[in-house]
Amino acid sequence: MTEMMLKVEDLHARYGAVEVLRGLGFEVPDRSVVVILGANGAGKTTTLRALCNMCTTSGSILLEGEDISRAKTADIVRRGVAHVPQGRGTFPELSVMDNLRIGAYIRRDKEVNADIGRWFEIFPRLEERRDQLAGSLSGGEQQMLAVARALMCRPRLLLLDEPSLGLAPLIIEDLFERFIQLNKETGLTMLLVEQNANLALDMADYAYVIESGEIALHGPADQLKNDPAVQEAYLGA
Amino acid sequence: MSSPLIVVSKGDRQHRQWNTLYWGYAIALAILVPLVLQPFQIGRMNRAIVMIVAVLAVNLVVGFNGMLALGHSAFMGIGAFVTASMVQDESWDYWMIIPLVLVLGFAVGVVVGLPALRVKGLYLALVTIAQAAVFPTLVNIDELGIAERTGGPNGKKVEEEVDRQVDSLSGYFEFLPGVDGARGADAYRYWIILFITAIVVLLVRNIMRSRAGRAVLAIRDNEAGAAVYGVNLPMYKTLNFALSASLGSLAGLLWCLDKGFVAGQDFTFLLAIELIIGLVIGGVGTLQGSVLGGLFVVWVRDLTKRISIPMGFYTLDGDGPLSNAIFGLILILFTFFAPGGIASMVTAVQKRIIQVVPLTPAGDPITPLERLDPGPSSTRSAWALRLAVIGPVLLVIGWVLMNVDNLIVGVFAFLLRFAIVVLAPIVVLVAMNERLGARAGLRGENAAAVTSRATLAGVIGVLSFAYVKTFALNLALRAHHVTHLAREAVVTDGGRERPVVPLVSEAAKYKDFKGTPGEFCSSGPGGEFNDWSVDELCGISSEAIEASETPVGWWLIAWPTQSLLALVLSLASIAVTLLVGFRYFVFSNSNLEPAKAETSEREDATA
Amino acid sequence: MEWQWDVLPQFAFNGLREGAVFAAVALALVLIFKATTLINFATGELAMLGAFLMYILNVEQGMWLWLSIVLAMLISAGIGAAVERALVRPFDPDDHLPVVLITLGLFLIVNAVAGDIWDYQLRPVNEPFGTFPSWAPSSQELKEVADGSISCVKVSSGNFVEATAGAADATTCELAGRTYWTILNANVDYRTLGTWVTLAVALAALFMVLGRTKAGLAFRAVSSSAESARLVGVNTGRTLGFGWALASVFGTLGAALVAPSLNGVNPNMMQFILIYALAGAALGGLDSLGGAIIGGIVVGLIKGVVVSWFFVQVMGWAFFSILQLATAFMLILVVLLFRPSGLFGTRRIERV
Repeated sequence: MTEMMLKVEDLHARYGAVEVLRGLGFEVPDRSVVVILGANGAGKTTTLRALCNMCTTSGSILLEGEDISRAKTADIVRRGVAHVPQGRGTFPELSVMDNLRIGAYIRRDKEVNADIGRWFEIFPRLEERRDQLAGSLSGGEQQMLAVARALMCRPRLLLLDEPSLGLAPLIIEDLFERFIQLNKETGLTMLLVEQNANLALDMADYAYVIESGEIALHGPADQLKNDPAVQEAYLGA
Repeated sequence: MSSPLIVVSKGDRQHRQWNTLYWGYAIALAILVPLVLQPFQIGRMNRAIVMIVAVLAVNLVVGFNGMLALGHSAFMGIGAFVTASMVQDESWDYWMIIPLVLVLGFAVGVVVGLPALRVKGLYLALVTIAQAAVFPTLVNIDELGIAERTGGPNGKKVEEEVDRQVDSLSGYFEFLPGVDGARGADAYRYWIILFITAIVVLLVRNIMRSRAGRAVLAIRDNEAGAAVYGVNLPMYKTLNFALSASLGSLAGLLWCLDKGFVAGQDFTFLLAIELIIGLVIGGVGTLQGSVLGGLFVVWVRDLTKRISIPMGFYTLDGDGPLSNAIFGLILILFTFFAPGGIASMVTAVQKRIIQVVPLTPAGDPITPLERLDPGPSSTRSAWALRLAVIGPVLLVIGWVLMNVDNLIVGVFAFLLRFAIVVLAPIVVLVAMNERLGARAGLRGENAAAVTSRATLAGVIGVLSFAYVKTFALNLALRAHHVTHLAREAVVTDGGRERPVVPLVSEAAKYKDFKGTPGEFCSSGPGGEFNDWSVDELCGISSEAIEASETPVGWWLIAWPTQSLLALVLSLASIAVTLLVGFRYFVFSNSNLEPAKAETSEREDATA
Repeated sequence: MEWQWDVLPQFAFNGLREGAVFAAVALALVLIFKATTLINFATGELAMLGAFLMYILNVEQGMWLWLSIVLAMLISAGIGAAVERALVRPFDPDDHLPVVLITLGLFLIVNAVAGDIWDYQLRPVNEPFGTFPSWAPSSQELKEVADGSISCVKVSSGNFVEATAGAADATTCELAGRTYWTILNANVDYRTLGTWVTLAVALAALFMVLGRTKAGLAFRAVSSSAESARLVGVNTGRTLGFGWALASVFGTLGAALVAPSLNGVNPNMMQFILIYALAGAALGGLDSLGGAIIGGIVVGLIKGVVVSWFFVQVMGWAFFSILQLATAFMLILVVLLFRPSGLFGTRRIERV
């Protein structure tokens, strides 16, 4: 059995009086790509926020066997979880370089600049705009910056919240190829939340479908892809 | 007491009873103020009521519109200086100035508010704080006759002879409680200020219920949402701010009317913060909050000034700069622990006592009252009885604590002593309500008996309290006339300053004397009075004494027999309460509690 | 109306010196605004406390003046961070009312406690720049002063408090006459130069800290987006505390530099300066550090040149010297009318 990077059991989350997640449970094996699908308002974004303790939660969240459900957001990041939130989460008033540097905030080693160079190789557009303010970048560039920024902390688990939102189809494909490349090359574990089910299922190893805060379906990605119910609801087939 | 003691539907008989009680207290309090308080205390009360108007003005912006306004001291200053100048220099009457200050305040409010309210954020706070800091410097400008009209650094006094309209008119209003020869102008001003304040409060209440008011509230709750529904944000915000500014100016007018003297240093940033403190402590965004807050800032300031705690080599003295520090601390503590202010505490307590069920458009309660009735397992009578016992117990504790020579304890004891006045009528209301329930067969066997005992205890408690208070009032009133003599004496004699505060205790020596001040001097008991001999006193203020023909305590029939009756009744009430309480706590406790099985059965039924 | 061009440079220099102080306090306001989107109305009082710390260390304890200023700045930094931790952090930063109330309460408490401890009286402080070793007047010069063949001018202390025109005896001349240089017919005393140089050094240090250090980067990140900052592992609370500490440092520096011009420290010393600084911050843009500096200096210049020189000297309207503070108020109104985000503010201003 593969080792579990993340194991979530009976996760509840609420905003005020509204309960958004109702006993969610899922697993993310090490070095895999897992996708969470769901309609608007199903609780996808909240799931990721709950993992980083950014909303009121209860339940258990085990990161490599350790419970992080009570840890502070900053400490969770220190344990190797990087989160690319919806709406990108870059710092619009900081330059591209500063965005990458702040991504490495938790690191104390000397290889930060080398890492920045590496991401510039992968995302050459960023290097061209290294001194521009992040707020002046285009949507796709910002998304690249957000991913690069998240990877600067050398995470073991990357949480991606709808990276395809608002991007042109060509850019999305390019972006997803890079995700696959990252996963293959570095063994980075990814938990992806998406509405673009086709692309996501192509990329993922395993998939969960959530509906109103509960897991409705789950299975290996290629299996789900052929599931008629999923096809009807999410793939427009 | 998990469920409220009384459940009523809006507008039904019990709700009306409750409201009558509420307003009864308010009116009784308003009438008692000029009768009971000493003249300087009435003056302070006037100041407090002026502050109610000012706090309400701030509340319009901060509480109802969600914008931060920190500069209402300047609007008050404008109102006060304009009033002082118009009365003193132009011989206008106060009522003629009211529209003037309203319009002026409104105009200044538009000028200040419009630039700041076009943009979102803390900009209004920025502008208004600068405005508060700037205003006191402006009154000193000696161009354009400004300093002449404002009095410059010396301030402006409204001379007594100019202000005679107040005194002369007060003759026509002697029917108002307190406006007799003794308290004259102070009490008369009290009624004028109270009248205007009541109108302002009603006005604000109605505005907030109007279309414009709903727009203002909508902006506070959800600015973007309000804009989407077509509310013109800058216009409503500015109009609201300008209205608030004009009410602030009106408060300034009342300030001048009350004090007769205005100076730049009265209208600094500190006054502006004081208004904010009043607002927060009273309760942001509620009318009751403004009323409580206005009273609070004046009376608590008065209290903190009297604090003096020796701490070895250092004495913590409230009558210095530290009175501000205490206020600051109160503000921070309230922000942390009671952000809703006193009003929300009162509401929380009230919710435990009464629940008002709103009506559907058809006029029926939204939830049928029967469903809210606890049925045979009701513990309401027990609670009523408990409250009936608590009242006199608190009264006794208050009496005991009165003997502790400490200011804070003294205030606490004062509040304890009055708790019964609030508790007893609640007991009676609850008990009456429970009796209705018992008659309808909704209550257990013992409830009726407990209810009658509770009613009895409540009625006796409040009656005896009233009698005891009447008795005490008699003494205070008779003492008051003598106090008045001393006050006149100080004014006439000028140079010889005497402490005014302990006069009541001094005057209590003459409590047996009944008659006019003139008789007091001619055939009174004589003797010493605060270092004055009575002859000296009467000699200095002979004019005032001859003028005052009002007998002592004219509004109360103050005979010893009645005082005796009060004593007997209060003793009886304490005895009855103790008896009832004793029985209740020792013997029949089990009778009152509903059987456990019964309760669970009921729960099963509802489930 | 007579254009008195000859005295204009003097007024301009005075305005610039005051402007430097306004800039320091405006910077304190903007640092806190960037950290917590809040106007800290207690900025002036915290700065006043810092000035009193300097007074205690230097005048009462006899510590070297500059060391006591630096120590006062450090202690103020601790106080600022503690205030943030204890009184500001518990509240939701999006809800302005409670936090502003807290700063108002703090304003009252600090002012009142300082007033209780030190009275509301001026306590003279030492001049940080005037005590520099100066040229001793030559015996020839002293003689010339004594017989009046050279005049001896006492340097005006600026516009905070008009210096009394003392008798031009040799002693005053020695003390005051030698501590200035003349540029463009204006006396630029050590105090003015020293204030500028000190502020420039402090600003250079601030921009080094913000631009080059990790803590500075974290501060910029938090002020740009607090939620994203948490997601890269920044301890936002500690970073906000750092911002408050920096703000207190600048407030204290401003108060320490202005104290000699006010003839000493006193619990109310910062109240008007706070208003000028608010005007400066509004002019520069509430979220722009550079804007605060320029805004503060411009407010100083407006006060010195437009009000004190043009209106009072040239136009001869003496009452405008009372209207100095009102000018700051008018400036805020004008800025809000025509450019609500200030000259350099970057935050999008939401028109309502």
